Amino acid sequence: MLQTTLLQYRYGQRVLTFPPLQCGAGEVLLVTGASGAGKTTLLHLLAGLLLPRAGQVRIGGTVINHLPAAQMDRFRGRHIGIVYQQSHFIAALTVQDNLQLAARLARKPAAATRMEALAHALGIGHLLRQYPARLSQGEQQRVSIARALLPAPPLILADEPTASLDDDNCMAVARLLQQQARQQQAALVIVTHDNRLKTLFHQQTVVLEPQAGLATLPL
Amino acid sequence: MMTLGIAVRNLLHRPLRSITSWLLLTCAAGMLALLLLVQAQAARQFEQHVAGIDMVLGAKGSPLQLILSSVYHIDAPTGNISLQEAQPWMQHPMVRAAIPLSLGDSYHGFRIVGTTPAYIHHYGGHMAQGRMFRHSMEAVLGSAVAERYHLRIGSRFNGMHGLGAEGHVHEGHPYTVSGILAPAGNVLDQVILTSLSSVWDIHAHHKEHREHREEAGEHANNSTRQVTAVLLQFRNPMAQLQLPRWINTHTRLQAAVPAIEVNRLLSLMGSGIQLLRMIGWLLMALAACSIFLMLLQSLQERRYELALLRSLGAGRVQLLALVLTEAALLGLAGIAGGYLLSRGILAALQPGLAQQFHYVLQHWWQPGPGEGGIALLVLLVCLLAALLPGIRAFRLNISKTLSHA
Repeated sequence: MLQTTLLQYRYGQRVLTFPPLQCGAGEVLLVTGASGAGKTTLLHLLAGLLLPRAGQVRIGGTVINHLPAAQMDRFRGRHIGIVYQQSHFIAALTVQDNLQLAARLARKPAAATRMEALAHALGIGHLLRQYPARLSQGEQQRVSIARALLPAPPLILADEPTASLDDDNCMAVARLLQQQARQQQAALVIVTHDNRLKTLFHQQTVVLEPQAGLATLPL
Repeated sequence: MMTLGIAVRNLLHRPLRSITSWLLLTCAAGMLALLLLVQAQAARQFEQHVAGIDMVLGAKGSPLQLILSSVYHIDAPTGNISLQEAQPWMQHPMVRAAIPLSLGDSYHGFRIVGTTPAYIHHYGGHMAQGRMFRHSMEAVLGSAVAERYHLRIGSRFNGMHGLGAEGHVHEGHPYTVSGILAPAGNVLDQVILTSLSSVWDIHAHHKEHREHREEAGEHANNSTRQVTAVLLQFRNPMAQLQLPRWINTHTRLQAAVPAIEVNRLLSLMGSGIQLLRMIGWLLMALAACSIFLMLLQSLQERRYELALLRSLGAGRVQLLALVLTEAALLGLAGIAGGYLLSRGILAALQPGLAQQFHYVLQHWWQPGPGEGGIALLVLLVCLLAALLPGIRAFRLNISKTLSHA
């Protein structure tokens, strides 16, 4: 599903290099590394939010490096679901409308029954009519997982999805993410420095080496 | 459709900020619309009433006062002139028509005008009921007068001396209503018309006491008869240049040209309106600044949301559209608010204007000719204020924004 060659990204004078990655449908790829190893940069490269200086990102049959900005936005909406470390929502919309918005932006409007089933599976069925600001961090993270999954994208990228959660929530959220991704046959890439996750996903792990001088960069 | 929905929800989600901007817009749009309306109405009213009157003859004094009192029935008259003195001018070969007026009495603030039927014809009045006054002490009522005091054909009422609401009542000399005019949309609606002889009779009796009633009434001749003003219409424009100057320098009468006085009045009013209009523009500028700051601040707070929308698949154009839609919605609300505000103020002012100045607004609830322009302007100002925040949203660096969460 996801294949990359050796990726390079340049921050001013520093050049970050990332090893080639591969992740098939229904598989999980865990990318770990210390702070400053460029984890978030890598995730943004995979999501097409940043453009690499060298190397290719191939999702499905598409090399996304060469897509123009407008097509990239559309492609991302349809093919990539992203879970962020800090959950961002449209504050003026209810949880339900936030979820529906993601599906519509992906041009895959979801039936109400499908949304409710997914919300129930993630344990947030009772929160659909709430505003996101009222939810706890664990609940917010579940909602962002639901938002990433609802359009049924073939690739799900998660950036430190459990960093702000306690142990119980961490395990529950990680398991749900894995379960749902597998159910939808989506490739799941998790970028994290959270050691708790390594015990859960030991199948495929890529460790990013600390890169020279990176700790001083604002990432 | 989706953009519109999110824009509405965003505005409602931060009600205080939205309402502040909306109120400013409403005040600015309402003020500008109100000025436009009042100015257009004032000019129309003044010009309509002055139509066909080339010169007014009256006692010496302020020419503006003479015009205001005899044409618009607003100010106090300048005094009386003897009919004998005015006669040569009324029959002057250059004069096509002359309408004498005798003022001084009123009925609950509505003026009683002693005149000839020509006055009613001049203002295009038609009888709704009854007939023209024929005898002394018969009166024809303007439509607003009849409606206000529920007077019918055959009703009797006493005039009061002076023009205020309070005054000496001419008891024992009641007028009888002989006719009621259809609404004419001008000064006719607000006056009571009677024959010159009615006014002469009442005041003759008044002066010479009740005993000499018969004598004074019937034997008054031209030499003692007085009128307040004479409205004149010329046969040719040359008269306009010659007659007023000649009369003012060589006689004890005063000749005033309505067109000149009205222009003077409008230019006096104009400077006031100019000031109000500047305040209106200032409000508009304030509203624009407020919207600009509101959008800028709210986008600064919402930049994660915007980055999120991009990462969910919304394009840059969609984000720009979202910001512009929010501003346009505020603009539309402001236009509607301004329209209602200006009409509300007019509706509140209307009864007072009609009573005090005989100033009847016509079709004031309809959108005026300049109001489309105001609406367009408000919308444009809003979109302009939203442009910079919109461009910032357009150029947002999503990767940077999201990773600095």
